[in-house]
Amino acid sequence: METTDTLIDSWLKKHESKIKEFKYTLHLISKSPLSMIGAFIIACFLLIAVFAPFLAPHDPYYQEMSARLEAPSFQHPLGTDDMGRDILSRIIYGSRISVLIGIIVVSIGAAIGIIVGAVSGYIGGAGDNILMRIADMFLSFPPLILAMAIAAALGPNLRNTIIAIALVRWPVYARLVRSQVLSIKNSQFIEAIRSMGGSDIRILFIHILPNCLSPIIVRATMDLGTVILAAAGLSFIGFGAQPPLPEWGAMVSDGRQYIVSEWWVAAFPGLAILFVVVGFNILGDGLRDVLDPRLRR
Amino acid sequence: MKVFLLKRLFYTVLMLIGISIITFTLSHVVPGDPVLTMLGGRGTDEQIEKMREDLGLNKPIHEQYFIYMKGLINFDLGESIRTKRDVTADLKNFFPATFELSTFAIILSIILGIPLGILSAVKKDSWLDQGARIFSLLGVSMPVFWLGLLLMALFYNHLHFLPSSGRIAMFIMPPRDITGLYLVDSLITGNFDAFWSSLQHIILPAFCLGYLSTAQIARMMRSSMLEVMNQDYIRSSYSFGLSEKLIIFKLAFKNAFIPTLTIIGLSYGSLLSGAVLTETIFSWPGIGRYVVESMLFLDFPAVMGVTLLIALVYSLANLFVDLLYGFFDPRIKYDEIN
Repeated sequence: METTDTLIDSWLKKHESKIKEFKYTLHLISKSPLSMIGAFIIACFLLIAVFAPFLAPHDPYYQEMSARLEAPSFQHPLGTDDMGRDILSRIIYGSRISVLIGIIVVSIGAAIGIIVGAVSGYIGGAGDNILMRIADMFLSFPPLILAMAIAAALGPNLRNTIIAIALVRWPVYARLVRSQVLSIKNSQFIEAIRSMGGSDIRILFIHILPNCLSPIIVRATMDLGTVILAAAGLSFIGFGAQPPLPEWGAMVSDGRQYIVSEWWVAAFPGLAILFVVVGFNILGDGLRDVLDPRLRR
Repeated sequence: MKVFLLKRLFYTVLMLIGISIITFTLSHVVPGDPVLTMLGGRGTDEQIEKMREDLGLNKPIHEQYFIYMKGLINFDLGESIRTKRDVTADLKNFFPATFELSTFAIILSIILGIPLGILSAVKKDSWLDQGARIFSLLGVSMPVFWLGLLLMALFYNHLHFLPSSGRIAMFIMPPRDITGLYLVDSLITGNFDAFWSSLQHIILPAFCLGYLSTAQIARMMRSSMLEVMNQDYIRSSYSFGLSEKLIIFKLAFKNAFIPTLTIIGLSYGSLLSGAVLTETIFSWPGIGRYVVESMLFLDFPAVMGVTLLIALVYSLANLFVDLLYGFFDPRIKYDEIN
């Protein structure tokens, strides 16, 4: 018992400055109204996704053919779709798909991008040139069309949507991390570590990368919105999640033919997309203002 | 300058080769068999074998690739499996519509976005700034396909104000084909009915497509304008008593515009591929809709053609933007940039 306490104490002592910095950052975030609104929207979104089975009033897949295309009512707060399914419940369950796509795509994209960008920036020279040209190639590839081609080639489903969008997103991180690494790798503290015999891998992963963290966090936050938007667009034209999955983009597509008279079928899922993406964007904006050292203090 | 241009063109060619390799590989891992699709899902083994031979599909993949590339040099992109026409001919047919739509959209977003960004920066924290920022925030967060549907329902079905689909009204003859751009052609030939009708048809899809870039331009313009306005030379100009108009439009704008220019170049490229969604909703007969239909048919020669064309236009647009930098900032020297 005593040993764990001393362990924690020594850990706290060792990282005292970092903890202080972290607390200060949290304090700044809580002072920024923009970030707080964004954080609130995202928190609601995550909670809805986690507790979907408890929140949804109906089964999202249950088709009640006698209640097709019903207008919003007490029974169905956001109406029903052309199969008589409750739209509110489908939106609630759909949040799980969006969370899943967003988190997996951004993790894969960021992981590939960080490794490529870090290596590229650190080694420099011809290797850097080749890696960056490859990244440029993926960047100039029309993203939606590449994603569609991958989905068409591998078969349109959720997994391939994720692969497709991740393949399009990684160069963004690679470029970002590379520029950060370039600006840090020649600084004096890196030279000091090298003179003490720190290996390249140690320098890169323990000393350089943690210093690139805040722009990556900002980028990833905004990217979650972009990715959810892209996935919804893919599903809308039929290359993403397939029916009967309650994916938001696919739901808008379902409601397309009823937009004139039964507007709620397409309107509400689209509104859900808009809300969540707005949430990620303002959280990202707020975080950037807080984390950017040039704007800070 | 010459070195810079040659280097950039060389990279563009390299990039196109890379993109063609990726798409070509993708088209050959397709689980569905294009030959079977072409034969309508049935056919004797001999028929299938013969068709394979005719299409060159029985050769090893790298040989097929070299054959394709040889064709590409002569602007031969192969034959579309779906339309049975040359892909080059199809592209010639559909590209002007997309080019017209995205160019109109980018002009619209420059006209809207730049003043919005400048106003927002000059009147920082006023209600105008807040409004402009909300407008931009919605723009970068909007699902385009959903906005398109809503606008269409509103302006076409409820207000009976604007047409919903196509490039021109059914009862009006399209103008004589000169550039393929209806707006330009109808003006050249003095056909004002056609001009008015195509203008009415283009406005909704162009706004829809351009909303994102309008928002991006306004945001970038605002932040770079704010940054420039804080610099010493601007403060000195104020203290010299120069008029605000002169300071904002001549001294600050020129320097603040360069990052925005980058954004404009990048958005123009993404407009071309973003047109896929907009064209689908508004039944706009461009390459976006063409590529979606081809994709559903696993028509990869067509998909490759569209992809290469878009990538080419994208990189040319960015090269053009890079050349414009020098015009706005004479300090930039091309041969020193990598």
